[in-house]
Amino acid sequence: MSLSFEAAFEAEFEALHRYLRRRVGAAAAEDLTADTFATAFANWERFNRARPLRPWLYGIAANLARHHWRNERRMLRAYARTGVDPVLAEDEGSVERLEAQVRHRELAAALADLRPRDREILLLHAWAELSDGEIADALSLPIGTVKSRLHRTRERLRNRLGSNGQSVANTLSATGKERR
Amino acid sequence: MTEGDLQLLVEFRREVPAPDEETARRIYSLATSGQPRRRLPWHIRAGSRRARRLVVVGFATAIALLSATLAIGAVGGWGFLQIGNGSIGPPPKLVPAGEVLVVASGSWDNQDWTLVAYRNPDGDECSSFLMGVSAANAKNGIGAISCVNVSEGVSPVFEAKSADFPAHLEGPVSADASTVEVALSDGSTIDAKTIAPPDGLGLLVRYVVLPIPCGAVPHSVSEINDQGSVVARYRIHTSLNPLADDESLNACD
Repeated sequence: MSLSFEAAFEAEFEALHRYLRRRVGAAAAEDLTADTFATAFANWERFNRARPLRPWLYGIAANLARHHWRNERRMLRAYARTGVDPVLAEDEGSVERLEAQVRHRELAAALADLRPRDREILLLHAWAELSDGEIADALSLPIGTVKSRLHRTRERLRNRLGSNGQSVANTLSATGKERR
Repeated sequence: MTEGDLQLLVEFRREVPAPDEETARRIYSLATSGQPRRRLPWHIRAGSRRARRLVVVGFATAIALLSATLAIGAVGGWGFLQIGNGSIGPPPKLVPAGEVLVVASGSWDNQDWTLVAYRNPDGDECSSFLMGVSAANAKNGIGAISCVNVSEGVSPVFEAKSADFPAHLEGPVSADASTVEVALSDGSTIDAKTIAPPDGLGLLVRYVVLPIPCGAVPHSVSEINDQGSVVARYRIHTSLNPLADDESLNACD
């Protein structure tokens, strides 16, 4: 059965919007989400429906979002420094959700210090829930490159978070649920 | 990194609220309208009163600065003010109308890059510089896109240095240009041969792709033909800060 664009939008819109909003803020996320789906819509007839949709969509989004890398790093650093999450602060009336969470501030600082492409691979893995092969497809990279970069980035993040004090170590050991 | 670390990452993303239905409807209609860029009115993007006030103040300041610049430029005869298409219209369509072809590809600092070209539905010539993508994998041809109507003038774009990619100049130059001379902010110049367009699209431009050494930003570009004559000269602009000579965009580590 062939997937319609409307059904694809319905299935992927919310996750893609939240993914982009977490990365670049609400206003830029609206533009990027619209541009991503506009590009997908324009190329819909050429899209091979036998292939999974999500890597294709996130690949488009990744290319469109690369001009926001500096802004993303600035927002992560601002969160790490002030404890006020700039992404959530865009919402009026969300003050109660802005309480600084030490572990998230440390995580934001660690993410900000990653190379943009490494951060991209990690977040496609953790937030978009793409497999290594799907990330390779989305970013047009060899799968070996994705695997090695993901391994190296996770290692770097673990070392970074682990070296930031007992609070994070406790947090990490308390949230050891299996993912998926 | 442990599964606990991944859980922490997932929680970090989970804090972001889901978009409401109105946002979904708005984005769906924008996405299917065929005009993918700059469609959201400012009053929708600027949700809070403070943000609206900032937009109004910023807009007024921009108008004042632009007027002053144009007035000074007109008196001083600044050449770069005469560059460009000279008209304000709707943004070009950015999607390919047909084949996406590779213009050139290479690797800087172990990072692949590929410049691709295509025509959009209006027949404009579009190019897209794909960072971290090899020619063999450039099948989508979707990146930071620039589309131009050649009769209205073309110029390459300066891209600032990023964490894993050097600053560079990329994009179209006129079909007469066999080389370009790029004057940098530190007084030095770089010469580069231009690249022919791929066959099959009837493109009326050539292209330039060159890394810019750290510590300087491009000031101006002179296009030179086979006879050694300058066929065009213009100030270069950056995608981040038009007309800026901000060397922090290409600082050495």
